[in-house]
Amino acid sequence: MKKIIKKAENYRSKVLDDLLSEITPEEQRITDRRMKLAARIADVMEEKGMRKKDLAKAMGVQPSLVTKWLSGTHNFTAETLWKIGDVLGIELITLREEKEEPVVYRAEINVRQQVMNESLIEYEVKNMTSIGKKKNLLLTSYSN
Amino acid sequence: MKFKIVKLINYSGVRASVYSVIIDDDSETLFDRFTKEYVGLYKDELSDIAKRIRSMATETGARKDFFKENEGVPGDGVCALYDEPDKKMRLYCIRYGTEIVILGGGGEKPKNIRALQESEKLKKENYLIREISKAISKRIRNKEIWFSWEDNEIIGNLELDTDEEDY
Repeated sequence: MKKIIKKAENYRSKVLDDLLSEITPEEQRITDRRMKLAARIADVMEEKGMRKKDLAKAMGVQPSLVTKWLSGTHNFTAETLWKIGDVLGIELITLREEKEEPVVYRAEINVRQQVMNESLIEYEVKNMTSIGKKKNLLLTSYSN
Repeated sequence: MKFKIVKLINYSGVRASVYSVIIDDDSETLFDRFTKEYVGLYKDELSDIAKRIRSMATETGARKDFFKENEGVPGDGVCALYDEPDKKMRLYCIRYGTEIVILGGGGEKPKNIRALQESEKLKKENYLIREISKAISKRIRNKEIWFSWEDNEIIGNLELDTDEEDY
């Protein structure tokens, strides 16, 4: 008998197309993140040889709740994620402190010395620019 | 019962390929039938199912934790997509590793039902997917169906008949 070697026929489901077309990219992204988060927790548990009941015990919850966490359907609170992270020794939420970008000024500085009463030196700084900003500054200093 | 395995191209992605089954001369898959039957009543749940399956296909693969395992006989791969206790929909599937999943049908899971035997509809859908899995397993054993893990494809003689001998 001749061996049949073929791939499955492609099938486009109209009903599924209709359903998927109503899902916004934002909604899909949320689901993707939930599923990936669950997968990350499961992967670390496996790496550490930890079973559902071990995590449940360490967290003081029922194993059925851990099953739900790993199902990709759970909407975690930040507190729960911090606790799970502590038990697993990983960061599930990273708080990135915003560092201020160094301000780089490019300036055309015209310095004119004015003798006004007490040796006032006025620096006029024109067209001060920084990333995303434009400023005119007038710097004044007094000579000794 | 004759059936063929088809690939749902709306769903399949780099992480997993998603298939369903067309029975006899039907024009739609078991998954289509399930969706059409319940979209009027439980659209939000079906939309959630659609999103999760798409995530598996494109992002995570069909990991076992995303399913309730052991919904068939040991080793037949029959499972149900994970459903929370307060949700109404149950969808039966056959999972082959994280790369290939076949979507079957399903039904309504009222809160007071603990065992699937208490729901005629779920019982019927569950036994149907078991029968399909059994027929596929036979073909796999006979090397008439196999998996290409490089491109997540089911290959071989994908038109099956559960009434054939030895099934």
